[in-house]
Amino acid sequence: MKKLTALFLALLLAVTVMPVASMAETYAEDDLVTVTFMMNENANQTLLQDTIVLNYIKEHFGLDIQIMAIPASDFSTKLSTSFATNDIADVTYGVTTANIGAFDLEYMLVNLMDYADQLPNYFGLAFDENNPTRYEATQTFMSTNSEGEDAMYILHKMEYDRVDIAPISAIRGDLLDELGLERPTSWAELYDVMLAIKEAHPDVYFFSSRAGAQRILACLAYGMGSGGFGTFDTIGIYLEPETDTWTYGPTQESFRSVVQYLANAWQDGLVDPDYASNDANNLWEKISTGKVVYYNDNNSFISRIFEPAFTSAGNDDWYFELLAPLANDYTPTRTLRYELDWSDGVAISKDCPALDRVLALFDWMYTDEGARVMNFGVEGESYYIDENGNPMIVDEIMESTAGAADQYAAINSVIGTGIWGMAMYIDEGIYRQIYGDLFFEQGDIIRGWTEEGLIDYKYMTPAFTLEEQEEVTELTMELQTQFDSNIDAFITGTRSMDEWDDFVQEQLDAGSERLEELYNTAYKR
Amino acid sequence: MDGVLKHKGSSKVRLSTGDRIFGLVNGFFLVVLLLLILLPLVHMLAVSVSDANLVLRGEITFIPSGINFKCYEALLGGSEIPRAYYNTIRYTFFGVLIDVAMTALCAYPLSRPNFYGRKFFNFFVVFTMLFNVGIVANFMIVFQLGIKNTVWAILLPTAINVYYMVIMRTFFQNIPEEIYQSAYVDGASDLRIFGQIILPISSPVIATMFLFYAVSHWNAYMPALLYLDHKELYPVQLILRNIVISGTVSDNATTDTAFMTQGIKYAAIFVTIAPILCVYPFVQKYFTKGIMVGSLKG
Repeated sequence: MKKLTALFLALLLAVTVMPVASMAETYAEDDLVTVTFMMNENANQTLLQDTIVLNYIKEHFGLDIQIMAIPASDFSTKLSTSFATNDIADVTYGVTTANIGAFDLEYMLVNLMDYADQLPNYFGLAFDENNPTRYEATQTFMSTNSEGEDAMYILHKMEYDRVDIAPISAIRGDLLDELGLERPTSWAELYDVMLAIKEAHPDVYFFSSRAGAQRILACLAYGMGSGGFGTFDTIGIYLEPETDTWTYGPTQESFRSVVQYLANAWQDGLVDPDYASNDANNLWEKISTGKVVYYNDNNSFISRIFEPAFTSAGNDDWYFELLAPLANDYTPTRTLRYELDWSDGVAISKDCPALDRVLALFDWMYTDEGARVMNFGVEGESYYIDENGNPMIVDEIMESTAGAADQYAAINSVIGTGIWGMAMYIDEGIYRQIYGDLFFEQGDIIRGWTEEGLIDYKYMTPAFTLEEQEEVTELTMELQTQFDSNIDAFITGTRSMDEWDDFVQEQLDAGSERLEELYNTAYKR
Repeated sequence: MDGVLKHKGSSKVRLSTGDRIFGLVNGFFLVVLLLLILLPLVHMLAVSVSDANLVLRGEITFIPSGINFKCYEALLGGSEIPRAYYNTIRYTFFGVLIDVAMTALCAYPLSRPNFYGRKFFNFFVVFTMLFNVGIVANFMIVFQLGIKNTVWAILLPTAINVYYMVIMRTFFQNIPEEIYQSAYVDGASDLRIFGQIILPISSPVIATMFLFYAVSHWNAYMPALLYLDHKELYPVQLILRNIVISGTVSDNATTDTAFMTQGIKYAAIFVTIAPILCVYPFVQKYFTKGIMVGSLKG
């Protein structure tokens, strides 16, 4: 027994002397200041502590950044707990207006409006009147503090130079060529084209999804003159540009047409029977093997996955053709692309040491020089300038990351750069060394359609007050649950479209009009 | 009446037609159940070691092709996973020792009929099983104790699982009272009775507790998520969970890599469950026995 007791005590002692990360902060007023950055770590991009970018910041800003890398899959839980317990890092990435609305953060976070003079570059971009889309987006980050003053607690991520991408219709052009079909210009024409292809190739399908009915609706509804579930939203409310009001899509007459269109498609065998259960991998497999021949989702997958897959399988003549936004029966021709900029950003704790240095760092990130360093690293170390004046990642890093599941992320991981790193003003130039020409050609096409006014940027959710946010969350959950549990039944005919009015009434009873009211109040404010 | 079941020796038991049909149906059902569990694992294993292009074309179901171990290399290549594995092993090892010790020390007095305030303490302990204070309150306790970002934040808050404690308490209660009385007559103290008499004859329930707690520590990610901020201390589950949940096709994936992500996800699942799969068959007998003795007689 004595031996057992001794063994147990020895083991306990061993636990106590196991290496434990120190929480002690080294703080030197005139020298290097340690600051903690809580960041969400994407599964593909490991956040490293010893990178070219972190060393650059240490040298130029006197900040020793300690990264708290929180797995992205559970970041929201960690973030909520941190805010709820007032145990936040000096700087927190991945904060959204919903977080600001859900917690009383006024006493925890720096109000950036109080430091506008130290953030000239950020505010210059955020309130650039020559960029009305961004100007409007910035408004969604504005709120009012308890003293009735303007407040802004998030420095939001912005685009510096991105390849244009959008969820957009694309159809197998080789099948149109084979059957001598005209390129459709309206949703009605598209339906006829699909029927013609189905007749010649009975085994193919057109509508499928990587995330159920919502994903199909996200890509179709707005383009068909209705709206809701925009890009990755899980709720049917959207900003209707025709009326400049937030509108709950599913209760609109135009939305019935969208569901009817899909219900008809189901009856005609145009919808993949597995659409509700597919994940991305299933869908990519079906498209790559020619089982699904119409695609309406992030266009970049066409150039990055589908067309190379066609080639590798010996189907060189297969190709996807982007369709210009299709005419609908309700509004001018339109479709929706992802937001300009991002809906999340950085919040700074009021207890952040060396606040001046931290603000200077973030303001610098919104300059040309800052964007270059935060997206490419340091010239001569991680990139060089090619004959066209473009920054190119050095061969050593390209070779060391070749074969990674996501080379773009792997490169950024090594250097400490990019959207999933610490960059706030995003330049996606590294894509030049990874993807083929088609990726950029399609980007130019989408940019052209955007400039023609055929494609709208996704709206930003307005900032709510604490009370509004609580009610919005409650209503959203109820409406979403009700919608999700019924929509597949209407598409697959289990529930007749004759009952659609009843369903609309159910949604109205569940508070869709109140939700609209809350959104519009916040939007106008 | 023509079926025959052979027993040891020469005795034979004839099976009725009903028994034979039942045996066949039962066997068929168990085979189907086995396949339902086994085939997804075989599929995942096949995908994780096959060529990504073949996976993309849907050519991989249960038999791997273009065999390579890129996914496992990508998963285990860096220092992160091995370090996290090491963390998980030490959390599991020391966690189990602490958990079993604390659970036994709690269960033993609560099993004694003459323990002062036994009903109150039983109620007090079981109450925490029914009404949890929630994440924030637990976080505040860990934070105020000053053990956040230390291994103690992982080891101490989960030291006693009330459900397991009840199982152990029930086991102790079913040990014949005469054993205690004879020990008392011989002048043994409660501590000596517990250490030298009760624990040695409680090996089934202790083995079960070891396994329960080991599985629990092995799978745990939430305490690490809440109480640890530094990757150096993360257990493997926290990192692999991120890969499995977030690791669908990356937004930056290409044809060559899109299904490598899928393979990595599957490889991560195998890396996670492999140790449990290896250990479980050897301790299964204790597992079942311990549960039965701890619950049925209660």
